[in-house]
Amino acid sequence: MTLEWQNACKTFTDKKAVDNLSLEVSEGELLVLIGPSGCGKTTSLKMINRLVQPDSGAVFVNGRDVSEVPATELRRHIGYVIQQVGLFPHMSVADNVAAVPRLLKWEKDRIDDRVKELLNLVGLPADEFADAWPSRLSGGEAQRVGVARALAADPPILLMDEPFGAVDPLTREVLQREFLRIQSTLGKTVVFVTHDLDEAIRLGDRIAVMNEGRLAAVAAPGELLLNADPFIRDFTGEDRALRRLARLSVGAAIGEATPITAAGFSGGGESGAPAGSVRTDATLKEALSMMLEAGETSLEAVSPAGRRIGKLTMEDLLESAAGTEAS
Amino acid sequence: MRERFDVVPLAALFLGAASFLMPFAALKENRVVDGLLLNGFQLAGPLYGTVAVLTAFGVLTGVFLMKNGSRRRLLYAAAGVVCFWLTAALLVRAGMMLTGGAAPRVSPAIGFWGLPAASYVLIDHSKKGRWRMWILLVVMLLPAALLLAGGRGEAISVFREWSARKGRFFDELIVHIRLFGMAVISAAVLGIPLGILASRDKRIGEPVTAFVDAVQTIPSMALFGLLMAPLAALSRTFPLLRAMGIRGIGAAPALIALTLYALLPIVRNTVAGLASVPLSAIDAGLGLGMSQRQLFYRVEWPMALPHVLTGLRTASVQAVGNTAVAALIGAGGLGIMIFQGLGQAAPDLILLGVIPLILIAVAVDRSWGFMIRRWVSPGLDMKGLSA
Repeated sequence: MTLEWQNACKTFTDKKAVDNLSLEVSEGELLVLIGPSGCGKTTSLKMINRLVQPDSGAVFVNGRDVSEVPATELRRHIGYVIQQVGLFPHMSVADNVAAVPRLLKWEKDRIDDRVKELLNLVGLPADEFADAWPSRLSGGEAQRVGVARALAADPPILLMDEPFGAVDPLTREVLQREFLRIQSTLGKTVVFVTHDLDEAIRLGDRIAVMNEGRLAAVAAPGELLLNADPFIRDFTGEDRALRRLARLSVGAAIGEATPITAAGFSGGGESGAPAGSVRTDATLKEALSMMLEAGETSLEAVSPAGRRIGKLTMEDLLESAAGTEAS
Repeated sequence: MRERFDVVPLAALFLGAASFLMPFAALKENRVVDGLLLNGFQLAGPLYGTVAVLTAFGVLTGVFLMKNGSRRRLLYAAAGVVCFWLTAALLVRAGMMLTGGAAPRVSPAIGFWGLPAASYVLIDHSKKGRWRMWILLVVMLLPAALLLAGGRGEAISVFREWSARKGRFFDELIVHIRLFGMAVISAAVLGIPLGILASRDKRIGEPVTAFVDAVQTIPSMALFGLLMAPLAALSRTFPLLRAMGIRGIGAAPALIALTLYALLPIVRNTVAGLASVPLSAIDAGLGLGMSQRQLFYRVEWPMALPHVLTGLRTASVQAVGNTAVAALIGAGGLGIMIFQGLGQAAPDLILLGVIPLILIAVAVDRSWGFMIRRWVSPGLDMKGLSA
């Protein structure tokens, strides 16, 4: 499923919330909408499932103008996750997840199976959580239920409005990691709103930066951090080079394509590698930190299995940060 | 861990002591004369009186030594039941001490209320489960009823008043229940949709709440009076209405006034209940693809239900009491007994109206509590609302 905003505009009373937004999201892509608060990112998101009607312009889902699709019909096929989660407190966790399948009038057995499957997928064992009341859940658990509810009817599109914004940083990282795992198997077309740049860089295939209702830039995370536009430079901050290094693996910098493992995300780069060496699946940011700590300008790069692969030097880091290396 | 000091047994002891130290009953030769006042100690006699005092202190000491748990709660329940039996026994005893007269009777005096109050406090504090409460009630009421049966309770003043007007009493009881029941039902039928409308649209909401608030400020007597004139005029003008029984006095104005009074808690709580639904739940419901109607029935209404039912509960309990006033404009009900008793300076007759009134109010309150527990999702927070 593809998505497209075409010259979409929206004005609230006297403020232009979204100003002539044109943007496409391709099938299976995770697009992050980011920007300062009031930049119009949530309004743009809500245009997709018609919670907001554009004043002019249009939004297309798979080439079809959404204003031609009945709103309820449209929304039942678009997953929707919000920051406040919005679980229904009078329904059990299972009933919350079953909300959309019930609206679609699925058979009971099919709903039950689907609920179990989804709860297990988001890491909440169905035996333990299906009959729980939302008020008993922690923030992280509630948000997992929110994601399960959005995925219930297997919608091809997922809209997420700061879904992990209200949980503590540790839980947020766990949720982000798990979401990436789920997304890698499901391959939904996702529009993800956040104001957290680290989150955007970590999750996004592409990042669209909005400012005062306008699209300021749209690029893959690595390119965005090299963007010379003053607003973007200001937005990405003085540590943008570090952010860039955080996206790249040691392996990539020395010419051995190695994905950053889950451990790399949570800063587990030191795991198992002997002193003076760094694992190829660690991030370059971690490698830099290790160099600074050891007072060295180079480190041995070793595979996760401990085999010596090559040498990572400060020059490699400088090159990567400058962006000559493909991200 | 040291528990918080439990004042309830002590309070029960003071209440129970009141029955023994203050006049418990007045022995009278007829309804009008002042009688001989006797306290519980005098009625029980030195032997039983001493036993009662020792038992009470024994229980109190036991409570202090026991840990808070099911056994202590059982002791509370048992003590409460005994207090109730004791009330019945003392009344029977008083009846046996009557010497004679035209219509000799035992009237409750100020100390009478101590023991039943102690009983209520203790049993309420025992926090029994649902079905155990019923067993408790049977254990409490059955022996007391047997004690008073067979003519032994005949001398009790309220019973004397009752047997003098059995037929009338039941008629008025039924009128009373019907009147408040109809008032609550009409108020619910009117008030809930009104509350829903009011919460949808500010232009309706503001005048509606202003109106129900204003009604509540009118004293009930004045409201009955205000309704009499227009209804009487309507009845004179339209014979059809007169044929339907709508007149300036009687059930019609009473029903209207009682309905208007019952509106406030119902409308107010419906509005508050719908307003309590968080925006995030509404946003999520719409975002998942619910229509406005589905959103209302699946999300908003079930979440507002605790408030709405609490409003109905308040309205019902209030209506039971308000209905008593309706007797003044000829609507009948238990108020008849009360106002006759006031007119004749006969407190026993007043009690014949008041005691069933209290029992109805308590029963109505408990029934709503039961229904709220049945109908409201356990996932909802009932804090701030009595359950």
